[in-house]
Amino acid sequence: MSEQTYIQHAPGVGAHLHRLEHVMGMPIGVDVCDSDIEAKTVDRVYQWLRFVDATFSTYREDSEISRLNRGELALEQTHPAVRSVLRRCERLRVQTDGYFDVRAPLQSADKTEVDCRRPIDPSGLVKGWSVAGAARILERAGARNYCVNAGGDARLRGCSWNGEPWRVGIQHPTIRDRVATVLVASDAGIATSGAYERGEHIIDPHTGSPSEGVLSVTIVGPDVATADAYATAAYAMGPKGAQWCAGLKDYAAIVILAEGNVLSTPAMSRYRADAP
Amino acid sequence: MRRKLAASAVAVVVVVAVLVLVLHHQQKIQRSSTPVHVSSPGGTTSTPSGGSTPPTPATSNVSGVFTGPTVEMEYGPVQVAINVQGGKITDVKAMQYPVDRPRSQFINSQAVPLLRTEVLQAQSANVNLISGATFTSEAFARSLQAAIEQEQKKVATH
Repeated sequence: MSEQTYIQHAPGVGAHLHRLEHVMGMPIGVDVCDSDIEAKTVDRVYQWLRFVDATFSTYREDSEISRLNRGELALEQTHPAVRSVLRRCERLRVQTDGYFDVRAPLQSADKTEVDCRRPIDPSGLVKGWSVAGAARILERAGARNYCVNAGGDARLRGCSWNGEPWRVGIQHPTIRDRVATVLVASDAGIATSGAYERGEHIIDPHTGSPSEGVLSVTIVGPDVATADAYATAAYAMGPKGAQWCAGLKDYAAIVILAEGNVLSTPAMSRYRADAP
Repeated sequence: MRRKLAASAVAVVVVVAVLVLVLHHQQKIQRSSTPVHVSSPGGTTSTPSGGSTPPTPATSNVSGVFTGPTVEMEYGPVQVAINVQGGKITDVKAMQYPVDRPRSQFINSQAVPLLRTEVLQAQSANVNLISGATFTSEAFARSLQAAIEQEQKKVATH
């Protein structure tokens, strides 16, 4: 289930290799606008993404994370990448006062009982981390103008096919074909966490209940993996997450609240397309 | 915001100054050991001609705490110290914190910067990509994908 095309734009518009495949339960798009990047480099990107899926997915019974959770695999036996990710998750748990926590379920079912031996679920970091790894494959091949977008977590660099820095729309929380705002960036990671529809929430690890009041948090900064974890944590904090984001070094945030207002940190002003 | 940028820029300058100090220290250690020889393809050894400097060794046994010069900033002096273990920087600390002037105290006591508030808009702008949370749960999406793949397999074998 993939499509790859060399998109022919109007004369004067640059090279554009576009590919889209469904991996990890979502469409992952790669756009490369350097003229000398080969298709096999993009092949390697998707091989990497499928490796991440096979190793980390909680939806795959035979992934290392699933086997770890069932006690079939000891931590020492896991792939070094698994241990590295889990160590990073622990650092993030401390840094976010526990609001990023691999032991908290990311999605709620209608559970009324508390399960004390919750399995680990690092997907709040893994998605962004897989995008960062994909970008590194492109970089090593010499790409300097690219975008890797995995279901809203993206790493972009340089310019798009029309020679301008990448324009990113923040999804409007209730109107599917609209954006809440437009950001412009030429070297950044961006991640959005949230839930627009009822029945799907990120759980506040401190209360065990779904966090209320926030529709989405978008984080922009140098590393998409960190942005992913920060967005996950900030969303779980509820409305006070915006204030926490304001204290972040090097990362900017936009928080869309349920009442229909939007909070953004001062650092976000450099990314706004409509800067005052 | 500009002050923060200036502060970061000065901090970088100070750290660079300290690094220069450390590297100078490393080179002093090198000069006291045997000189580096470069072997030519013919097999004989010869020291490099011209002004080429000997290569820095991959590992270094430089350790210690190095303090940089005190740099005067708009609202007080700033000095940075780095902790070096085995040639690697393991910690960076600000040694002096300007608290002697009322303005600095005000800056120190500043709460987290104000958030910008605006009304949610719905735009149909020209963008290259969208960043958003998903409208459907991952479980649903995976289940749907698996079902489609199974269906495709069935179609392919008939």
